[in-house]
Amino acid sequence: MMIRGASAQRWSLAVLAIAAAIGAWAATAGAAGHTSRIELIMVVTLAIASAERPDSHIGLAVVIVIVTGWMVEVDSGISIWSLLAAVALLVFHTSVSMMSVAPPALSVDSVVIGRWLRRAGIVTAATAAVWGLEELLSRRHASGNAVITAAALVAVIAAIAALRQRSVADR
Amino acid sequence: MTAWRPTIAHLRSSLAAVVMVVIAVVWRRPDVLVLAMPFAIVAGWSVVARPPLVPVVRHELANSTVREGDVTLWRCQFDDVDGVDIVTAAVSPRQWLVTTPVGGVTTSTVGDGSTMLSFTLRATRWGRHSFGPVSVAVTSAWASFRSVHQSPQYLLTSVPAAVTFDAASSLRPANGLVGLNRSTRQGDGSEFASVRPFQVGDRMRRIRWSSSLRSGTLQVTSTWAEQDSLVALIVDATADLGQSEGVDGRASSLDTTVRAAAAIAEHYLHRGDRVSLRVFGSTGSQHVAPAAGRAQLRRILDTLASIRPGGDPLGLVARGRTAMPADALAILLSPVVSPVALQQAVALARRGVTVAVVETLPADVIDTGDSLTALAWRIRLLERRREIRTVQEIGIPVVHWRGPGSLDPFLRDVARRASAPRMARR
Repeated sequence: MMIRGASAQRWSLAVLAIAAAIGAWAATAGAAGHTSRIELIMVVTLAIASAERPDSHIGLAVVIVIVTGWMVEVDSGISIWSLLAAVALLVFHTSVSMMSVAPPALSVDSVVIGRWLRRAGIVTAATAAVWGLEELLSRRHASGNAVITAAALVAVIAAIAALRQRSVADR
Repeated sequence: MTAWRPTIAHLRSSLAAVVMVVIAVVWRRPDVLVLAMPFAIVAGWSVVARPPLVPVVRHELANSTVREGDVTLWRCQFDDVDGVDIVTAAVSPRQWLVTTPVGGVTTSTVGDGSTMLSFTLRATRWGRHSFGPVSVAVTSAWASFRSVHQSPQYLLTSVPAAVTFDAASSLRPANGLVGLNRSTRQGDGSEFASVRPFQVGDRMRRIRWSSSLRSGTLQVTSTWAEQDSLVALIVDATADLGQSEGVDGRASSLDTTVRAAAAIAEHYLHRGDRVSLRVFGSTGSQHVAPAAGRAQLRRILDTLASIRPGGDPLGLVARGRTAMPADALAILLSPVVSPVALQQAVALARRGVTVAVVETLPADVIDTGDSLTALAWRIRLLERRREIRTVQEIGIPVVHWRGPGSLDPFLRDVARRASAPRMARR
């Protein structure tokens, strides 16, 4: 159990992960204009379980629940809520990943914390840039283009192939 | 170390990114693309920053033998750590081994192509303690790839602490070769014996001119020879009574026995005497033949550290008589709860060996929470008192271990009796 012998830093990360998951749910609710208590209960329960077992697939379940809720409840379109939800998901993923690095009793060095914060800041900035680009493009009201969509799919498939090739274990 | 393997965190970011990007493109959901973006960037960053080489790890225990209460260091050196973010090590807690950092986990950041982790180990009780295996993990950026390693189990021997022991009285008789104890016969030495007439073979420098002038014949100063003695330590390991709290707390009967044996051995070996050790009631070979010197002390401490109480409850009874020269000084250390120890002492005394029993039962052994157990202990202690009295009546001293000077009354008595005639039953 994480509770027994966990360091203060570990508690902080767990609270941060749970708060980030709730934040993502809140952003979904804000974008949709209404709240789903069932989704909140699921998110909180899974987030607590994920904080208790960070090196498990429960974290992925939290992401799936939040994204599914977003897709079901939020209409297509760019809003500030999507950026807030993305940042909340990043915070959740980062804090859970950091918890998976070391046993609960361990406190990670402040140098490592600073390094991870810088990285999270860069990713947040890049996400904000993409959101800003989409915001600009959405104002143009351009019609759909099959060629661009096909090109995007090919790019996605190529990226997936590259990702898979680099992600497998060395033999 | 194992090869770099993707972690669950990397799987989460990659899967989330791929699925959400595909959904965004196929269903034309730019908002979902924004949600996917952090995961896509993290996944891409992770694969780009994946370390090119598997780190090389070397680990060692600085000392495999320490005194109880002393500390040693376990070190782990990592090389080829380019791209590595964090290194961590974890080890399960062990009884009588205090690890620092507390909790048995430590971490380090990486710099200049190499890094190091260490645990400080403090053995709080004598014995052989296993340490490890230590699980070591190195993690890349975003905790996306991990390489692990498990060190072998180490054996740390903690020899008994050097408790203070001193004996003001010298050992007699002594019939060894060279040593510090005054022999029962005259010879080369420094302690004055008498002034006697010159005999053929006396050295010229022994002539005492003042006495020679007064008496008119050559007189020489004779001295007592100085020789070593054989101290035979016999340790009763049939049971460990009382609560042991390690070197910093209360001592069990076996703690006191082992530490006392170590102290006596160290004292007499430093004086140049020969010391032997026999352990009964423990498993394995527990005999150290008589010898002198530092190596003998190391052998004795090592044997004491390997004692496992109660492994052979019958002890020497099952193995027959112990070979021991009659001029040895046998010191039997025992809590004197089992009759085996006193039987051993009586058997040795009947063969003419000078024996003393050092009693090591802790005073708080009776303090149990159970009233019936306390009653049983009181009955047993009454019986024990009668057995000890019987043994004392046949001339075997039984002394309680109190550290320095514990054996002085006994040694004085031995020295006094050395010059008197005695009868031994053969």
